[in-house]
Amino acid sequence: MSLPLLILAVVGAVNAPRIRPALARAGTARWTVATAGLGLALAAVVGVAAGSGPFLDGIDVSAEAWRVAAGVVLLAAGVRVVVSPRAAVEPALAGYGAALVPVAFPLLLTPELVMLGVSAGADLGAVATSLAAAIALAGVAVIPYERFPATLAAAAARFHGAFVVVGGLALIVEGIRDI
Amino acid sequence: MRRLLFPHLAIWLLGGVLVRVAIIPPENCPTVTSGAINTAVREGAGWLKRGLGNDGRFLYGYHRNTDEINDSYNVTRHAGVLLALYQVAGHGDVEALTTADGGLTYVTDRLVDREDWTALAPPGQRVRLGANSLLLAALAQRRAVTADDGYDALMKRLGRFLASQQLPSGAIAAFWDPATGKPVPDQYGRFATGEAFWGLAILNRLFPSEGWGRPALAVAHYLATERVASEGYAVRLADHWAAYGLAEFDPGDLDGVLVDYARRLTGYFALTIRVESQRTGSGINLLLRGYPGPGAGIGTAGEGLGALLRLARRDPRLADVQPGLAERIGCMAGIMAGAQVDAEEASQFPRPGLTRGAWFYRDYTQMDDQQHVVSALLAALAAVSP
Repeated sequence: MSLPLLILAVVGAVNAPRIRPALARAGTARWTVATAGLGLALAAVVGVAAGSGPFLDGIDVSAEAWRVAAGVVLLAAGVRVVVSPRAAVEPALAGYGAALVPVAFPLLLTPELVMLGVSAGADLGAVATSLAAAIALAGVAVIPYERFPATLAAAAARFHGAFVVVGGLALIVEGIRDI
Repeated sequence: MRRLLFPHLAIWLLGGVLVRVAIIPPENCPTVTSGAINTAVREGAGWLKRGLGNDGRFLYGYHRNTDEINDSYNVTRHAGVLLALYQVAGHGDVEALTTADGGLTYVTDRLVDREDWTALAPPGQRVRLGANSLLLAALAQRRAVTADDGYDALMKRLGRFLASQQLPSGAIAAFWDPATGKPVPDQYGRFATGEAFWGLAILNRLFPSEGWGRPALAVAHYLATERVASEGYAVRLADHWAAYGLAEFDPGDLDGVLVDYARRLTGYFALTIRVESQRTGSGINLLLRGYPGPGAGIGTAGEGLGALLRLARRDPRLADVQPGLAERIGCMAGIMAGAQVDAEEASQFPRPGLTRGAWFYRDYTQMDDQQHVVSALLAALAAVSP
């Protein structure tokens, strides 16, 4: 997977236009809480990417096979977002606890992002994966999609879902083709 | 809160289990030494040697559970077994050379000559492209082992038969019909074209000034760019014979299209080995992954990996796939060395001599199972540390 495709896939998996309105609806739009949640999510993705090699060795799975699995998960997740672009309203822990639940989990740290983090970490390294995650999470931080008309935000979320579908297909094809 | 988080955690857990079981079960690649590979080669070749009959034919197939011998025969597989035995002879097994020469008599008694070519043609059958290609490859291997050039003229005449079957597109007709005296139109072999490519590529290597390179590269380009569409395949074939053919060339003779083709082939063979390494043959894994594959299937993937490893070691454009090729062929060797029937296990069956040294798929083994795995294991020796 190339770095541009990784960035595209991670931006799609994080899906700012889907997440921002959900954060607002959950009452966690306060910037300090949201920023802390984004930081937690970034740290988790960096950790997952950095530990991808030992993790894959530990479960006896090659990076290529994991790539296929990640592609399947991304494909399913992308289709789900294209069909249903609005994220559900999640309950929040009180105070800064909301940074953990629901901002970091379950809104940002989705199965597709974690699978992608492991795959990208094994293929491109933790630095490239962290860069892609930082770009995607910065999008959540700076673009106020909750102020956009709901139909426009939903269309943007679907568009991001399409990125994820493309990224998933690319991962599956690469996983099959690569040695 | 706990009630609302539970569905998320459940989805993660169930999803993780589903992905683990269905998509990424553990890949089991047993460690193998060159000594263990040599033993497996010797045992596999032993099965082939014991199968040589007085008529020069080899034992074709054997069902160990019903103790039935499969009496059918296939001349292409006969030629393939000759090739494997000459390869074993190249590793110092004199008995393999004697056995292969014994099997060669079955071939030399069934040759037909036309003006400028000769072909192996069992009576009453159409002349098969694949059988003649593999016969050529076997004779070249014999030449390398014995330094005897007594079959050079036959090799060239076989090569002229292959070239005479070639169409302007580079494709090669799979059969020649003695009744019409012409190639059979619109019939192409799944593997025969790649076998012919290898045969022509061998001649180009051995006799570089005789013009074999042009038809060989024409086939290679056809395989790389046109075969899928013109022969109606959904995807490009994992053609190990094409890999053998590519490995015959100097890197400077292969253009970007062919190097890209070689790269694609690495992936197909590697996928076969990855999937095989995930098979346990029991429980839900059996349901999802099927039985551990037949020797011929896994062996051909190993042969393809071995040929491409030889190419990658000479061609810097493929240097990046070298470690992966070595790893996958090592995995194949570990799996197949472990799957072979040893003397102790064979003693539990009605005919230990037809069981020992073989690779069975659901209690059946066939000459090409031993042929392909033995060839693949020999190729793996180059990748495995002592």
